[in-house]
Amino acid sequence: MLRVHVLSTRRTSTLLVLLAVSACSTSDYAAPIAKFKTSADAATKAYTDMNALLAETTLDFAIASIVNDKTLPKTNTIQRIDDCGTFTGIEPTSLEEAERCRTEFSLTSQEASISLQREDYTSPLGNLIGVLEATQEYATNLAAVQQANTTEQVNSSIDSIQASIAKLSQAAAAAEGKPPTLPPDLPQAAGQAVKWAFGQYIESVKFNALKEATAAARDPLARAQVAVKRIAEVTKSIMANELQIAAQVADDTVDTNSDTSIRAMLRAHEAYDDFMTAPLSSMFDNLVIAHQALADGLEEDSHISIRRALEKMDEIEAQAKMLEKIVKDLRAALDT
Amino acid sequence: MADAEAEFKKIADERDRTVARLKALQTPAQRERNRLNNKRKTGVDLTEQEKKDFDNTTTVIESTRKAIQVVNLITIQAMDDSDLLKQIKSDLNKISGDLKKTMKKLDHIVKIAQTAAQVTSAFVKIVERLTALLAKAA
Repeated sequence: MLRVHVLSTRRTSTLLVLLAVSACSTSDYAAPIAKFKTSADAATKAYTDMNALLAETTLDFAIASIVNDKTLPKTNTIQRIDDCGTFTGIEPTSLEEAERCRTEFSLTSQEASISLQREDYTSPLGNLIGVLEATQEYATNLAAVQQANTTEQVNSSIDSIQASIAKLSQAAAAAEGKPPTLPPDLPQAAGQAVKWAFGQYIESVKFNALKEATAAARDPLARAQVAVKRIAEVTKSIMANELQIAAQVADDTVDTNSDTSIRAMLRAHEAYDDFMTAPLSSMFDNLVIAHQALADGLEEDSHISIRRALEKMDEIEAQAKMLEKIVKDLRAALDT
Repeated sequence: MADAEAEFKKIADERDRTVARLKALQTPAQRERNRLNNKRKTGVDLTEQEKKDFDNTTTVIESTRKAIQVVNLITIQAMDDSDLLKQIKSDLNKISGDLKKTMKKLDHIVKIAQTAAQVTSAFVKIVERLTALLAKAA
């Protein structure tokens, strides 16, 4: 005879109580995690634009140094560092082993000398962008875990099991020529209990993963915050060079009898002043503060921390827009 | 880890010291040049000596500006190539890897439920067939 085993009421209750203790809901974190992801995307885009602009500024400076160097032989030079003439077409196993054709700028100042190679004037912040992309990837994975629809998928499988259990009960009873041994609503009730238990288990897996990940990311993000701040300061100083020159030229050439000339000088001064006072690193500062609040929230299950995280991420969106404007203005200044 | 942070800090501090030294040369020259330029803006011509001073300050400003730019470019190269950035990237990638493992675990839970459903369905079909056979035999 075929028997269908159903968990006893007592066992089910014990299991459910145990699971309820360990489970926390991740749905409260849906908004801050989704926003952390969009903020990380915005920060990566802003710093990528900044990288492109820094590359442009670096190349402009290098070329101007060569063009304006009137010494003979020139102190600032541009040279081909590879022979470039022996390409065999063989696919290289690594970039280090590849045959190359590169140009190098050698610039000398009163204080120091520098060699600028291709990556310096095409992507000078390549590794910093790598850190931002890793932050973006981390945010994407956090969101993926939080948004995973595992419970829905499991529920649909349990619905299918439930239907099978009902059929099994009917078939078993029919084989014996008896009425079904299970009350008609029992499979459904058991299915609901299993769904709930699975749901709690899945939530605890997701919650613990989010909690552990945000705790682990605190330290690398805090270190990244320091690095981004210092790199942003130097980047700002490099990019300010063109605006500084433009402001000086405008000052030197202003015609105080001309409305147009005075306005042009003011525009040049204001562009330089705006750039000097613009906070380039605060967007990443806010991203890290928001992440800390998110990690605190997951650790303490605190709604105050979640609110703090959301507030900081609102600021990031505004700062990303401001940075976009600065990059646009600066590019316009470089193009003139 | 501490070494990487110390190395990064050293790069930053060295840059700050050098730029501060250059700025100390540049600032008085810039101030004097601005004073002469402001005089010129009032419509008054500069004296011969002032014109010479103007040119001299321009030379100082341009050379220090270039020196600062070169120091900054060297600093960016060193900072971007630092172990600190490489370590941070590697740490974040590891955390992402752990989150991906969680996604696999969640997929595995779905698979277990799906397998249970499939096994039960197959079992039901066998019982149904058996039932039909038994009914025929009876």
